[in-house]
Amino acid sequence: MVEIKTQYYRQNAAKAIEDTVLQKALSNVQNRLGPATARMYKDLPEGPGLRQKAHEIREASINHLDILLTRLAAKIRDRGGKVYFAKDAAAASAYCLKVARANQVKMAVKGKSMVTEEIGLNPILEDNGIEVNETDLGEYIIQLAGETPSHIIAPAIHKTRKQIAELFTRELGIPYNEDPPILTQAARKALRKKFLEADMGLSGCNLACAQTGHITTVSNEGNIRMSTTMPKIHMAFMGMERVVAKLADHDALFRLLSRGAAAQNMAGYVSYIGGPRTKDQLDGPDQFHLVIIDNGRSQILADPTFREALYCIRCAACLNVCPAYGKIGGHAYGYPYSGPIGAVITPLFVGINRAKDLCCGEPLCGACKQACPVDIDLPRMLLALRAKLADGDPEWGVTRANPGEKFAFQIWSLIIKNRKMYDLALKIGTLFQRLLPQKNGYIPAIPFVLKGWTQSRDIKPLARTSFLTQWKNRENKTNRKNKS
Amino acid sequence: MTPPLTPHLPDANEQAFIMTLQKALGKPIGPALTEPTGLFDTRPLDHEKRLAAYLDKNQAEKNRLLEEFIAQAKLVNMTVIPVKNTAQAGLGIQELIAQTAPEWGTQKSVTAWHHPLIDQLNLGERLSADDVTLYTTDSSAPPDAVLRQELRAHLIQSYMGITSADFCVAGSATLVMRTRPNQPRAVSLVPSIHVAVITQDQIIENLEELYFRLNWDPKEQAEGLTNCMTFISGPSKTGDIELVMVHGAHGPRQLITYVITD
Repeated sequence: MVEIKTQYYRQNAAKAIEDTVLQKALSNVQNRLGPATARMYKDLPEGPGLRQKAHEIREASINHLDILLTRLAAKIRDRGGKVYFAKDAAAASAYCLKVARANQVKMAVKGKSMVTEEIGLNPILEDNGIEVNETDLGEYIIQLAGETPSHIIAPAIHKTRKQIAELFTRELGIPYNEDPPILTQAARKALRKKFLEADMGLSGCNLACAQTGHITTVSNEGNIRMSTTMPKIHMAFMGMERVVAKLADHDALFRLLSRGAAAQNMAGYVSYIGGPRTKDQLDGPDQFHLVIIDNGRSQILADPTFREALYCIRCAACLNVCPAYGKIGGHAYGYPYSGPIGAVITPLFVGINRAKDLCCGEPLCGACKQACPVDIDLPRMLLALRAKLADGDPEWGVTRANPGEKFAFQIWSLIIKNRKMYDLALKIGTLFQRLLPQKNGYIPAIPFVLKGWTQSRDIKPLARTSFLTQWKNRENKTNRKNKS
Repeated sequence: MTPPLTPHLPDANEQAFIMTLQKALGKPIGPALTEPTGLFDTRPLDHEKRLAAYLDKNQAEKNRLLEEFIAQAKLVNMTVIPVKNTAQAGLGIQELIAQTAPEWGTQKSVTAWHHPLIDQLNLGERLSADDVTLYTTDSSAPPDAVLRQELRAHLIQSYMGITSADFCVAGSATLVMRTRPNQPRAVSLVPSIHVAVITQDQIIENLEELYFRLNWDPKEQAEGLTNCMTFISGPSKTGDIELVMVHGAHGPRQLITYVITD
């Protein structure tokens, strides 16, 4: 299993904000990709409305997931591929290990795949003596550095060229050089050897097509094509939601995915893979395995409030516009999925209480919804998570995150519903606020549980006489005048 | 031809998995009896008319598509060279080989698809005088382990791979190729330079046309997508170091497409 660090969100976020290198890298990503993607949506022949169409396509796919996965599996088995349905992370990893052992696999190459991060595949294979090489340049860099991805499509975005140059000098023994083409060439050379020697290629799956029975892989580097072509075994891992019904669905979705992910018309490489090498073909893997993973997704599917989260095609467009992600980066989220989509699905995967700060850290500004190529209403789901944390929810096993707060609000609701109690509370308030420090007519700090309220602003003290009292006094005066 | 769907017995894992999904979706448990209409592609009523329009493009339209392809290719760093005929294409490749150097080692080796169009380039004759080794992927014998090992060795040695393509999508400069017996996919992947040769007729408008033709052109339907269909839009690239664009991450560093116009 992958290490879950969602409970350190606050500490890690605070650390990230102090990290000047990270701050520069994050604004670089957001300034470049965010606006570029928005422009490309506008320039679509169908206009940005294509996002709503894509939303409907994904909705239909998810609503018929049972039919689509059955068809996908049958078609792939017809071509001689193996399909394994894994109910959780442990089952998926165990299957991979079983196949690897049966084929005496010593070394694997892996294309970028978030779901294998989610199931924590690498450590399991490594513990069993199988060398796993990440081959996406960003993933390769963080594997060498012993870190985890901080962005869905640009995993090493938190590292500077200087840090990478130092890392490559240390790990690859090359002379120090900060030039990105030279660093890329060094990785190309080192990994070419791995691609050609590996016994097994591991990949994710972007969007399968059920009708024709193919998974698809998308990359710009060519590393996924290498991993799925050169080794004798190819095993692909897909979250069960990553499927659509038909080829025509891919038209809108691939164009939107490429725009959302990297502001491209079309990703550099897209491969439709539907089975192992046929007897008359000269290359391609002898074995093709597809592992379809639930790992908590069926619970999301069963809840109409969150089902929409499964429409996600993992392009990371929401990360590139989110003001919270732009300040705290991916590592603060404490799980492979970061940004607004991470703040929604991570709590659903690891436990809403355990990851309670993630949904509260997002500002609900709506930028992610506008950037989403399939128009997912992430702010709505962030709010729903907050509601569950406030009230508790037996279905998701959520206990009230802050019972004291709930109690306080219950009292508050009693007070504001009763005129006399309200006036009394105001009176007590005006009395007690005299004990607080005042500065330029404002209260700069309230102690104890309420201190959060004055963390980033000063608040106005309660008026000595309330507006209503003043009004009444005024009316009384005028009335008296009129009478006399 | 893809074999017809044979009924298969889902294993216990699959059954349990699908049952969980059906429960989550609030559907009746068990095999779905009917597929909802519109979920899968069904032949549109006007498919013959649309297909005919796609297949019979006039010259002006073909020229517009070529121009669009050239413009889009520029954006993704693909070089497009229109040539009159295969002789010109062959000559162009011959010159390209003379001007370029291998990335790994010093020997100039080239692997080319055995493919009707590529065979017409007469590369064997053209390169015989130069110090170039040409391999073709002609496997008249069934490709046993030895043959496949040989191809692999040739490809690793080759600094240039020459292929054709099934389609070229103008709107995104995308070459579409399916894996066939003599047309291995690694030729467009492992060598440092990928050269593709296509005819102008193969240039199509967009993905919509591509998927329509794959679905409803009887010729394409018969073959299906095969077990591996690849879209290639430009040479291999990465932006993983500070978002600086670098070409030649793991695949070819250069991609040159010759379009035969006559």
